[in-house]
Amino acid sequence: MIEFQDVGVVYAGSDSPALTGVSLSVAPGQWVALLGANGSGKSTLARLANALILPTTGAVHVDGMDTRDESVVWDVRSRVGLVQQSPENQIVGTIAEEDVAFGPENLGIPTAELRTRVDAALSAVGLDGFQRREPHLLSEGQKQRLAIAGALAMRPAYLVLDEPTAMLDGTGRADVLAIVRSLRASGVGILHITHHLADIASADRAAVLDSGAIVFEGTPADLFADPGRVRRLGIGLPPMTTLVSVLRERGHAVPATTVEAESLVESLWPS
Amino acid sequence: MRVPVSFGQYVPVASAVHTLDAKTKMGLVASFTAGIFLVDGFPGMGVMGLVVVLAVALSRVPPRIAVRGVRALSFILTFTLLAHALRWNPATVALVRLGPLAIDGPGLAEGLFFAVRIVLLVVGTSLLTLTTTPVQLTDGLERVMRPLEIVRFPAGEVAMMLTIALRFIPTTAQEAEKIIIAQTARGARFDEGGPIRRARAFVPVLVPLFVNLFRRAEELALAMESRCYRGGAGRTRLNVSAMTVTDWSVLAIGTLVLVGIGLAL
Ligand SMILES: Nc1ncnc2c1ncn2[C@@H]1O[C@H](COP(=O)(O)OP(=O)(O)OP(=O)(O)O)[C@@H](O)[C@H]1O
Ligand SMILES: [Mg+2]
Repeated sequence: MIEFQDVGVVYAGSDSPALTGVSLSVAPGQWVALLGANGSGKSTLARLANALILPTTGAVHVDGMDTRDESVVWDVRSRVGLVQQSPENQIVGTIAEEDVAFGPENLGIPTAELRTRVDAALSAVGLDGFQRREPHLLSEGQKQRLAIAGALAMRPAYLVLDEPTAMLDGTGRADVLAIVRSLRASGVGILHITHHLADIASADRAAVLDSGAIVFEGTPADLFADPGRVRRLGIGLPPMTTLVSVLRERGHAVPATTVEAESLVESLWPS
Repeated sequence: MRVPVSFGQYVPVASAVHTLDAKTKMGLVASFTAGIFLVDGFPGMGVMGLVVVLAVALSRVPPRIAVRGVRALSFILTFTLLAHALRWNPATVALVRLGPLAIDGPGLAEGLFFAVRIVLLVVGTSLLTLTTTPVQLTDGLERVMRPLEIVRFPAGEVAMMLTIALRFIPTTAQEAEKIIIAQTARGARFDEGGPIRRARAFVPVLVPLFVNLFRRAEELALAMESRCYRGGAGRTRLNVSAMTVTDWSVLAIGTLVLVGIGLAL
């Protein structure tokens, strides 16, 4: 479990806090989506999760370990994989497989096992056969997936994805979301930061940050049910929700909480 | 306006020299250097010359490319030749005489000997970078430097620095190209005026390029920490290029022959 307990963060040299009184938790096998406008503190929260920054007030615990305890820092980081916002700036290797191996190499994993881990991680993100490809020859979506593979190869219990779909088109986004779904199925806890409301339909829980404070926590369906709030918070509505509210305005009996295409079809044409 | 994304000198052809391990080639370069400095006479230098010609032929590197490094040395070569050949009022029989300055036979021979040595040294050692990819070179270097860790030389860290530099050279070149295109679209000219004006035209390119590089470096450092990088100690490696029996035999025989020539001739 990753637990943020009443966390506040004030960056050095800044007078307004980046986060205030944030409490949130991510359990193993749980997909928690975190939304918020630019500068609302999403990346700050992400970096708290693996002890890249420490809370000014409150505490962050990872499987019971306090991130402020220096003796557990590397344990925390090997349990919480972090994929940052721009994939380009976190690829270390000169070829794809070397980059994926970077994390487990740092953990001192023996060479024979490194090979299996690297190949498994690349195939988990659909990059089979890209082992020897140079990073600068990859597309944005492939770089993004390579960065995810780099975190996966460390076999983390939790994965924090900071806007993994920000620079991707429709298919690229669907690919990344499919990876997230299968990771959740294998028991990895996921903190998924995003700008796109459409990305979170299948998440277990959703939270919204506004100016450093959590202003909503609940299921994605609850969030979608309140389009007014969503609009006020400056996060875009997914196309499905827009469709549902248009249908409701025209008098169709569609539940306001509909997020999946199948259930929409079901309520319009009951079988 | 294009910024070349390829860099380094590697010539991608298939040859016996290319398949040798980087460490083997480094060892051979060391023996070759020792041999060529031990040789003291034209017969020995001649044999060394044959060795270089043979190595270039084996590597399948086009001879034109193999000798490319020599051209840059034309000044040093001329200087070496003249420094040895020119005498002030020599008592010997001069070949050419210009007032008190003269060139005599022994001096000319000596100058030629040193010039040939420099040429062979440059061609011979450049075969290493011509037949080894930068990645293989870095890995080999890390392995070769490892014994220096005893005297606290950070071999792993130096190798990591080289790797990151290699990783970001193409990215930076691509970025420079993007900025140049963006500035050109706003009316900047990079191909007009004298050298000073041309150099100044690049200032608006370099400033954003460096700002981006620093931002990149900061994010990269965080990403490396996220992935548990704490220096070279305790790190394992995915690709450990091992020296084969062939490598060891080539290295052993090569060293014997090269140093042998040096000692004998
Ligand atoms: N290293 C830093 N030093 C000082 N202030 C910072 C630092 N990093 C972020 N901030 C500030 O903290 C606040 C939250 O930033 P953060 O990057 O967490 O937002 P975000 O929600 O991730 O934004 P975005 O959607 O643009 O990625 C912002 O006001 C930002 O300016
Ligand atoms: Mg952010």
